[in-house]
Amino acid sequence: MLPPPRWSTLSLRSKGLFVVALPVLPLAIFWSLTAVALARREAPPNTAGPNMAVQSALARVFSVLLDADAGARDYLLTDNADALTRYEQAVARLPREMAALDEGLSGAHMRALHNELRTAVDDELAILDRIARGHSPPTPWIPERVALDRSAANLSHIRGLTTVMQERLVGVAAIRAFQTEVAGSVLVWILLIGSLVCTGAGFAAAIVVAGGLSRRISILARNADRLARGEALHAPPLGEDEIGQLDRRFREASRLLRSREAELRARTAELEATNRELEAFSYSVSHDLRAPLRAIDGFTELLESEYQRTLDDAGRDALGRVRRAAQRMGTLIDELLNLSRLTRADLTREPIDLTETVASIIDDVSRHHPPRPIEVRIEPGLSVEADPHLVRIALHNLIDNAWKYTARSARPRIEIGASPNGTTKVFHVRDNGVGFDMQYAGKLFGAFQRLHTERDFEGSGIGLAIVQRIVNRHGGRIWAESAIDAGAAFHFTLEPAPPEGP
Amino acid sequence: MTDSSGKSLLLVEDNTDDLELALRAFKLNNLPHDVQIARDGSEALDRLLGRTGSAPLPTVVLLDLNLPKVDGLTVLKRLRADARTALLPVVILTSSSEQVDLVASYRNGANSFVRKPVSFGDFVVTMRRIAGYWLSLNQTPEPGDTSTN
Repeated sequence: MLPPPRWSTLSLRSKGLFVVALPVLPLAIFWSLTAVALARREAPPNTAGPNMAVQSALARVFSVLLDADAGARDYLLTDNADALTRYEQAVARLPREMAALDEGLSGAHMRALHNELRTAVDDELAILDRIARGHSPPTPWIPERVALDRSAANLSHIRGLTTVMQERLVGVAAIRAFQTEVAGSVLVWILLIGSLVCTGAGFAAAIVVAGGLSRRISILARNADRLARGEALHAPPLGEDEIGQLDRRFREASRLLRSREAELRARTAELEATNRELEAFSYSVSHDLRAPLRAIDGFTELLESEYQRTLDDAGRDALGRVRRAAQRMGTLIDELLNLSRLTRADLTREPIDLTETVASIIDDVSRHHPPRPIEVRIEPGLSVEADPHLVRIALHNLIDNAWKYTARSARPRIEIGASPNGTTKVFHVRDNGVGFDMQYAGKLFGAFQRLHTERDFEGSGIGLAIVQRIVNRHGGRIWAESAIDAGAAFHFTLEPAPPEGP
Repeated sequence: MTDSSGKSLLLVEDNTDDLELALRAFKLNNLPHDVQIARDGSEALDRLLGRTGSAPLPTVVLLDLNLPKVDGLTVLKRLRADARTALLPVVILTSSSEQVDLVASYRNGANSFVRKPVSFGDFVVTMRRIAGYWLSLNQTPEPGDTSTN
């Protein structure tokens, strides 16, 4: 035998059907009960017709017999032929009435009464026949008087019989009427109780099912909250129906989320470890590489000063080159460390007056270069929300480059400004210096990449790498346009591009 | 080894090249003072805290951070924790350019923090500025000693 399906495993559809079916089932029972009651209530009118017909048939049988008796009696006394005709007509009507009576009667007792009546009627007909026929050839052995008396007695007996039958018929009708009335009130009760029971069953089912549903849905809602906060989900599962399925999906999502989170944590830890290693590396570069350089520079100087007399020009030149190389390498290491520090430094955005910043940078840069007339155009009212320290370093590098590369221009000019591109502000630093070949634009922002020989323009080759890194850390973009001897322009943004793309 | 002024300098340095360069820089700066040398942190602590009797403290200590055995920062902490050397001028002289080292040094009571430059010329100037400054002070401050002469 199959175990009955558990309530929790039923689908919501089945539960809904159950809620509807629960009041319908008793409703069906009460409908059938009502139908039975109605059937019983409609039965009496069907029997009332025959009952009335039997009653009138009884009355008619008796009156026909009275007519027949009167006709026979008149004929006997008056010899009137009309009286004989009335008698014969009455007798002729009798079988039809008796047949009608016979048809309408039911019940064993009534049958018995009817048989007795039939016998009495047959007797009466025989008596009357003798009275009527005895008149023309008078019957010697039955004097007319006696016959008349017997007829009167027999009629009286018949009257008694019909009366009994009548009363019985009336009694049956009364009982039927009573029964009909009782059936009616039972019907009312059935309907009343039935509707109450159905309503109650409906309410009970709705409360049970809806209560369960709302409780489980609120658990589901709490689980959704926990899912959003990344907490563990409420422990017991929520059954097998649609809500249960949703609950399972939530659990799966939560499990997935947690495993992803763990993965992410592991990866973050890995990255942090790598970062620490990198920091340790840059620290060791800072400390360990500079010490030998210091020794190279220091002892070369010693050679230069203490052994001046034993060195010839070529030897002194060689020592000079060694010292310059060592110092340059020191600068490169410092720049490299600056670059790595820029990547690690925190970025804090605040509103900056760029016009003022640029003016201060120009002042700074001009002090570090031999004085020469340069036309500088700074757009008034330049502003941006960015990291002031980093932006200053970036602009310093760009402006210093412009300063450097306009050294050979007849009328050197540097322009700093901005133009809108959609919602993004694009800043630019433009000069009319030597420029560069756009063919090498791709190498422009790489560390230690140089497009000019050191003899022409000194520099570590790391300045633009620093600028690009600062721009990238702001989520911006930097690009350059130039041609040889036609100046260069560096464009950059300091905010992420809008999601629509460039 | 103590010269007539009674002023001396303790250089704590493990790198022989740096040691040689420092001595040369002193010479170039005409700082003819008594220069003592400790080759690691524990030797420096022995000289400063383990000294017996009336051996005088140096006027200034030039302390490297990256040292064998006991590192410079620990030496600094021990010196500041000891009443005899709590006020002894200590200049941190290091290759490091890290902000954390600078902050840690000053937090632990360094009087100055100097990064060793790569250029020997710059190094000579640096030595003149820091060692010369401390050595030119008339008196090493001793706890309880209020004399200014």
